[in-house]
Amino acid sequence: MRLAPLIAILTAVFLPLLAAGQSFRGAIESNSAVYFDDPALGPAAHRWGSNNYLKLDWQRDSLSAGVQAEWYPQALAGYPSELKGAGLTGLYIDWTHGLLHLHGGSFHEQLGSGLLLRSWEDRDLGLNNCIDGGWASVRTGGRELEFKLLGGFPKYGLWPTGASALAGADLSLDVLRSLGVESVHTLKLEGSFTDRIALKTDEGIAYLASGSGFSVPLHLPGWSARAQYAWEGFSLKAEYVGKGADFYAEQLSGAKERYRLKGGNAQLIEVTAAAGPFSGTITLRRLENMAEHIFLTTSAPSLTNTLNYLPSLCMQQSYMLAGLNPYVTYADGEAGVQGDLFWTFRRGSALGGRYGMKLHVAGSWIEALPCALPDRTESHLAYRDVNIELERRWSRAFKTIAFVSIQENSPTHGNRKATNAQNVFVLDGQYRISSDVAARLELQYLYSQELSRDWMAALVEFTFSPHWSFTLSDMYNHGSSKVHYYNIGASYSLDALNISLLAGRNREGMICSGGVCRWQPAFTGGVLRIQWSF
Amino acid sequence: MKRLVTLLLLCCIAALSLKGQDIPGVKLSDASGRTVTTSSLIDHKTPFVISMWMTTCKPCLKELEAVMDEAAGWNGDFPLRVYAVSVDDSRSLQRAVAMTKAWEGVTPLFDPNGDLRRALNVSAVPQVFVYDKDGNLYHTHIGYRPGDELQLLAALRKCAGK
Repeated sequence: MRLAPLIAILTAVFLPLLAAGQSFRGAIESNSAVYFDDPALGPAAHRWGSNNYLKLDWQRDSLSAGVQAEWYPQALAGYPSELKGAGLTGLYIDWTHGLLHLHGGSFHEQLGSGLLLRSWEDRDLGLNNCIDGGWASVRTGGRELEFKLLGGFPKYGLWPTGASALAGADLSLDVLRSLGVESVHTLKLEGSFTDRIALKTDEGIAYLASGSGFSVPLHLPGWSARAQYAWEGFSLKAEYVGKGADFYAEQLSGAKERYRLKGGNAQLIEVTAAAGPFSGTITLRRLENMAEHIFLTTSAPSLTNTLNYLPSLCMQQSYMLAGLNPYVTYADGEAGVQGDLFWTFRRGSALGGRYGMKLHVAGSWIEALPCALPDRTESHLAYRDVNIELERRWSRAFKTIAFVSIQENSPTHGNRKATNAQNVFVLDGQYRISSDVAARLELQYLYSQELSRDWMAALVEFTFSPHWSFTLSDMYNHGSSKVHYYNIGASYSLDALNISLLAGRNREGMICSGGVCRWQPAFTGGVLRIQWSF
Repeated sequence: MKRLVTLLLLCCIAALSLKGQDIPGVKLSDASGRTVTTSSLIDHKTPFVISMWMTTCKPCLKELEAVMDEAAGWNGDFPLRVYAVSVDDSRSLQRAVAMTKAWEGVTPLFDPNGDLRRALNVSAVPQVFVYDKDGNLYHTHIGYRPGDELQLLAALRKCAGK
């Protein structure tokens, strides 16, 4: 202990000196909640929950390093159960020298669209499947060619499981640049390969496999080939992904399962175009047995046990009632199309008026593949929607958004013909009272003859730039349960600090982020969120 | 004594945090998929703004619309450089590209794997950053409330010494 003051003084003197030419960044985030018993929802499972994150990064020229720690004394309700206790969820060092780039320690990676491999962090989902290992990349001077090798141990919860390792390679070629052609056209060809190596096999899985006459493969190879073309307002992306044979629990009619080895594949085409006031994008995707897990298990599936990205192929909703019953990707097999059309009516045009207007139309249609359905009959609709959003500014101070969403969702992912339909109507108006004070009102209605039938909702928000905002909202299920889900909230921001407090009653349902969803149980209580970056 | 050590270390970290922060070197992509490095945004002449946004974030879109309104009437003594960096993942990337086609006054860039988001420790969008002409952080703000765009441009002018 006698050394402690000396260390402190030396640190205080020398650390700032060492800091010359360096930069430090960091962030602290704390999300804590208290839960109360509520006669409308029943007793709370826990009295409180808290998710906490600390991240520090250091950089000097081309060398950087960082650490991330997470602490879950008791995770917030609805978060994966493996988030428990404290752990280092990121520790890395990164170095660039000319055309060479080396990274050791934890990293996140995405190959192509993520259908083959994606490790990422999403705190709304409680997901951080970073890989502990390293990667090395090398490129040519004009970035005509880039090559990357990666490997490591995927993290599940707070620590790597040791159940599997991952290796991969990625190659990207800018064709025109590599031919020395400077052009407004861009043509890129890319390819990737991955191998998930099973280091331990779950006993339950091994038992089911041996009972079905096969053994679980140690290696699970995956590959993808991608092409991308762009020219001014037009772009085309195409991707093919293949996956080797893996343990597969095939659903049969009568709620039975059959176990066998099965490969997977996916195809993705995305087209984007813009002309004048129009711009739009259309995506076609087909996938079959594309769920890839860090490890195989007979235990209940967890959102965090994933190695790739299979987002739902439909519009991600931001209004309360429109996102009430979201569609979740059927990884066993589905095919769908989704499109967006944006139309900007310029200021001064006949329809745009003095301040302009925007129209956004989005729609999707998804069907399950018959081979992935228990009944193996013809496929039926899994999900479809049409969304229309019209935004118009009436004066410098007043703006409205009218939004309609018509959704139809199959509870059996298209195995049966029956679907649940819901129509959502939203009117969102914002009035700017002064240069720094504004008020906003949302009125929403959901009409449905299925599930919990009709809902209505309203939200009032007052904002005082640059620091304060206050919200009051209520969702009322007057078609069935007659329960009000009310919330009151306040938020304060100062530079890189944001503190928000939300209190009220929240319904159970899916919480989605980036097209990936987790189950959120109902709760009544208060949530305090503190975010600070420095 | 442990408290003393902890306090001093915290003081050091706090002191270091007051230093100018260089923009981290991260690869982004433009609408055609070509790589754009964050270091290439530094021109050693004028400050610039990075606005982190995503397609499902209504406040982000409101902030960018307000900034574009201001940009339309911009008569500053220096060019207004605003980079709108989408943190949409690959699922919404093309939607973000399509959405930005009609934008004027801001330059759209894309961060589908969240590399810049992680490097800047952005835990919630929108968040704006004002960097000086040499790429040192001058101002940042989380969230958007109508009127924040005026604060942002005031910070930018101050950073430019105007």
